[in-house]
Amino acid sequence: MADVVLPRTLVELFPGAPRRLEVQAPSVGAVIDRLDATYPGMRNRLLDAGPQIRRHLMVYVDQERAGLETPVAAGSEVRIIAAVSGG
Amino acid sequence: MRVLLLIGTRKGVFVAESDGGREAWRLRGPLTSGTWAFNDVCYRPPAGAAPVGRIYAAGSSNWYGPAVWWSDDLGATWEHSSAGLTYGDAGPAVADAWSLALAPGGETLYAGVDPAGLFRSRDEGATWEHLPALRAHPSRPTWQPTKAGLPLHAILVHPTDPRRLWVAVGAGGVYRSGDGGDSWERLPDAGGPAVLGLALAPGGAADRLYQQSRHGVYRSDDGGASWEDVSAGLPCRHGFPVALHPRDRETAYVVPRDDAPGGGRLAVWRTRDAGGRWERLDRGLPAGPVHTRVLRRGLASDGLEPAGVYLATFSGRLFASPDEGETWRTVAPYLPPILSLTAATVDK
Repeated sequence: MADVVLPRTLVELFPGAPRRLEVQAPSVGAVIDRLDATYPGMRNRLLDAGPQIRRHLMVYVDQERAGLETPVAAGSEVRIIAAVSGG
Repeated sequence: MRVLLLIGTRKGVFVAESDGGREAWRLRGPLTSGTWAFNDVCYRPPAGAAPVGRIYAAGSSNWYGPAVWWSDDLGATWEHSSAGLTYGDAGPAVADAWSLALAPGGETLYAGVDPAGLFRSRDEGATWEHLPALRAHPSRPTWQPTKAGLPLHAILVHPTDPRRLWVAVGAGGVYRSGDGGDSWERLPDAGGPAVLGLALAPGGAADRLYQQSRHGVYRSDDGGASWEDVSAGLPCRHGFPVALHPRDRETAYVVPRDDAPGGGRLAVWRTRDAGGRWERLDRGLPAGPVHTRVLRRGLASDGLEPAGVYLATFSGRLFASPDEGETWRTVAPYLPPILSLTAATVDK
């Protein structure tokens, strides 16, 4: 299981969604798909056409900047951050 | 009887509420996330036994992209979706949701986006389908962006024939469809392609449209096939919004720009003869100079008798007139920049 941390401005769009949750998935893209299965519509909030991670969002896996293909290991931390410039 | 002003701002949706007298207002908000900007808000009256109708709001977040939001409890709780609100992974990416319109009966909802295109939902906003004919129109290469981007910023649906649609594109003119959006006719420009406000007048056998563009105020009595310049008597040809009386197709309201040195004066101008003569309405509006703008959806009317008229500025001030524009009072002085304004009446 990976430890996934979501931005406050995202979870407030999905009543009941926690800031931090555990997800089992092999890559960042797969983590997002799992999030979308639990919170329908979350994928569209995170990804733009392409698909690619939206421009003002950043994803880190174990503190390294990550893309959709980046592998996620058991025990990893996946942190999604809304850039300050986005507000 | 309650009157609701649905207010789309740079920082969420607000609602102001009054009784039929429309003198005292109570403000709630932001009711959505305050990190989203809402370009358009509309209200679908209740169907069947539902106590209240549904608020729809279209907008975007810099972080999370565009979506259409809705609330079935007058703004207390919301859902949102952008499922299908896309041109596909080959793009272009949809940057913003700009305009909404309900077909008569309320079962079909249209949304216009930036870059300009028209989408339709037949399941109350949950999923969307692109109507590709507009973007396939041979005139599309002539579309030019404005300062606001290249949005499909206005959608009109005929009140009794839902196949008849009009849309306005950034600086790309006005289009008309007679078949629900399967094919489009590029209507002639009235002054130029930079249409800002577009409205369909109530009643009458012929389709009467009013438009405010960068070049003036115009009226069409043939559904947009031809336009008459009705700007004479206004202090400036350029403005953004046009709003209409709910029943009298001769009455329209505009807000001409006033860029006088040192600051302009805020005023609404009204015609009661379809643009023949205009009168200035400013009783109760600030007497001193104002340094703000009223955007294309910053002017609205309600359906009561006499009609209420509402004015919202980009500096976040909202005014109401319960008497068709004769007198004005401040509803809210310090809102975020107001992008859109809609009046709805609720029975309960």
